[in-house]
Amino acid sequence: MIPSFENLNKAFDNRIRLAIMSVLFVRGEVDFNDLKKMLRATDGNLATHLAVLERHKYLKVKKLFVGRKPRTTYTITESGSKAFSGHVDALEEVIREGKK
Amino acid sequence: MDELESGLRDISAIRGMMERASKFLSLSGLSGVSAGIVALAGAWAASWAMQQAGAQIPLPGEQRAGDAWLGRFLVADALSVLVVALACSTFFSVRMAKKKGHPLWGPTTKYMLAALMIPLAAGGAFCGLLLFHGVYGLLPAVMLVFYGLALLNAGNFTFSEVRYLGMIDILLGLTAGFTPALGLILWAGGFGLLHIVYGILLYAKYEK
Repeated sequence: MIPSFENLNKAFDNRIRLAIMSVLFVRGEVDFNDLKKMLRATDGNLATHLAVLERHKYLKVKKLFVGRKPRTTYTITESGSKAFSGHVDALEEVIREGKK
Repeated sequence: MDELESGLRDISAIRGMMERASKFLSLSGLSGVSAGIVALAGAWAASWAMQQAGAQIPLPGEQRAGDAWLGRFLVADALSVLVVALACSTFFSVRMAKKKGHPLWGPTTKYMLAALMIPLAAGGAFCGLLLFHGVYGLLPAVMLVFYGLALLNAGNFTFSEVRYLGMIDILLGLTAGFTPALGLILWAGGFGLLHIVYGILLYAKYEK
């Protein structure tokens, strides 16, 4: 068993969650609609995965009203950003060892 | 090997999302500072030339004979400022991109430049129209307003603070439109002073 597999974060083994974290990692903050456009995901699907990430405390949710429209924005937390970097490192490790 | 395959796919998905999500982050504060200094020099040259000609910039709609050389001087002055300021900002942004390891010519660079250049080109063409009709007095206003719109637009693809600079420039431009006598001073404020202040702020925030 290659040890680096253990470092892969289970929270990121889903493609949508991985994409959400990638966007948040570079933007810091993003609103729901932008995210939906970028990921081409349905509302329900996206909301479910965002909730999972929120439960892990990898992102923070902020709800506000612009005029009458509700706007939900998501901000990456410090632990989220660390977890994501760690996951990318682990992925690189897997690839390096796989190539040997 | 499955793990390797899926790891590679994950990495490429991450890279793609990051590229799409990111902005042009190599805009150096020093670009702003240098462009501001160049603009102030240009404004100084323009005011010197106007004093030599013993003329205020003619008011909108007002045309005077004998202003031809002044007009030509001001156009050459403005174009030189544009070229030198662009060259300086490109230089400092390229330098910053290299230092930070950002790609020089990625998609975000293209988005940012398209957002900036389209309003700017429209403004340039409009200035050409004003010159054609001899309406020199509105030139500072039009330059400020179109430049402000260009920044407001480009701010979506780079540091968002740039948008506020754009809004201030639009307001300065409209003020200059109401009071053409203050045109040159407002122009120097918008293109000179504000660039320098903004450049220093951006530099302190992102490059220290």
